[in-house]
Amino acid sequence: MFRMLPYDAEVLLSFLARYNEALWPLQPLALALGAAALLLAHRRLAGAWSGRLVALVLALGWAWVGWGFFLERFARFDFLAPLYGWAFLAEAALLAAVAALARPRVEGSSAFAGVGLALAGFALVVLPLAGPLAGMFGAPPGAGGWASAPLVGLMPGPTALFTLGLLLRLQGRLALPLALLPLLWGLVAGYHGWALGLWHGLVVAALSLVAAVLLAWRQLGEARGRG
Amino acid sequence: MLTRRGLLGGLGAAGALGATGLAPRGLAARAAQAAPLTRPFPAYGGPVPAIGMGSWITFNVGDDPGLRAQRVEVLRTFFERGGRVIDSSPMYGTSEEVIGHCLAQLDRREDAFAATKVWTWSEDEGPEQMANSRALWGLERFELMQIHNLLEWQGHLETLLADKEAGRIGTIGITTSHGSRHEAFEEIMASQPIDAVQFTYNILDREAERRLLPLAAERGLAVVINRPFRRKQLFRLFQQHPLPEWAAEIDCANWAQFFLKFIVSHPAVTVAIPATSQVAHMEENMGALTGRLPDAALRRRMVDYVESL
Repeated sequence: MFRMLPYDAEVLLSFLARYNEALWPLQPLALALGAAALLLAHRRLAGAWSGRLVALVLALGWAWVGWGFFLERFARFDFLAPLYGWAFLAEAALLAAVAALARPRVEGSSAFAGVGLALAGFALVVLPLAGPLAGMFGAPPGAGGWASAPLVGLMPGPTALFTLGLLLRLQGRLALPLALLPLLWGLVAGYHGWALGLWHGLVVAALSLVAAVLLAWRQLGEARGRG
Repeated sequence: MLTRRGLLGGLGAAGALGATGLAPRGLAARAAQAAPLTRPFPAYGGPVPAIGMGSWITFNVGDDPGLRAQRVEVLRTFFERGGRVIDSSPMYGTSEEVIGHCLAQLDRREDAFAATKVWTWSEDEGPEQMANSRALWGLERFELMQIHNLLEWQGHLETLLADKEAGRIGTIGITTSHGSRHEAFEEIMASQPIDAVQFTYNILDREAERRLLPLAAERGLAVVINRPFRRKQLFRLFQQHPLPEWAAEIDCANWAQFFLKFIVSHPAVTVAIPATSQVAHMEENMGALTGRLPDAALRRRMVDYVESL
């Protein structure tokens, strides 16, 4: 099978490390914004504006990844990066529009919402730590080290998974269409993981599929409930 | 000029073509070669070494100083072992920029036979893209400019003919890879004023033997071969097996040389362009530039051997 990626894993991890280095100290801000969105999506802490703020934080992350990651930087390496960049900007616009116009509300205490919180927390905390920690314990390379750690809002994989998790926390029919581009990116990340031997991408793909199935299941249940 | 009839005869004779063209039947097949193997590149006006270098993936390393330094060494080995033809494309990310960096570091711009491609849907963007490529390589002229995967080929061909007239490029080529669009490719080969073609050919993907290689010979076109190792797949398939004992008869010390000698022993092939990011692999590849080449019978035996594994 023809591999469409014009770079290898070593080059990608080097790029991510240099990208992180160039962005410092944006990383603590990105983590703080992600943590804030996670708290706002928590049922006990949610207020009337929580859904809108969560959507806005997500929109900010997608906009940054579209512009700052793909269009400004990664386009040098991959001829498909502009396409990805515009897709991320489109998702950012959709999330911003939902925040402004649709009044999304935080979900109650369903099992779907619980899984969503877990997936978002995994993307925010575990994904960046997994590669370096695995490396420290002698695991073969496959997710890079601290320098190339993938962060929500700065890199596409964790941003897509974080978004899918939080969409499981939001009520309403808009969650499913908003999940389309994150799911597509999850699949692209899976292809990257397979082609480059980076298990991080495979994990993002698998969990993205889980989130998408749960979103569809929830929506189906709601439709039946209304019927 | 090599003709289709001559080619068919040549296949029965030796693959060992020197700068002088076809070798007499039976003489060259097992003859030792002291000098690196070169092939005529008709419209260029001189011979080129039969092993070149591709740059898909391998030279797309961006600004990383460590990775750039490694690529400098890869290219140093390439030149030291007699290589000249370097092929790239604007599609390959930062590859052209990194090649330009390496050529400047080694001060070998004059020694390179620089080949790249125009790759854009827009005819109007072609000149700007090619000017950018010249800047990235640090060159005023490419010896070979190819239309990548036949993209907007009619428009770009007009530009390239004008560029050739103006001396910005030496020769004009078209490319395809992994066996796609062979019919359209053939049509252009047969009817358009081009000088070179690039397509896929290796010991497992031999579709080109049927029409493209004979047609290139008939038209006097230089032939650049991409994917000589099927993007490493040939090694994954065969390197756990030993080389046959008779590989020594054609001076093959490793599988890379076995695969490359199969390709460049075809009389219509001008240059194969394997890509690598490792000095050791470059050493192996460039070893195919010397020693004996298989004749038609041995080429058949090479195919039979790998297909039996």
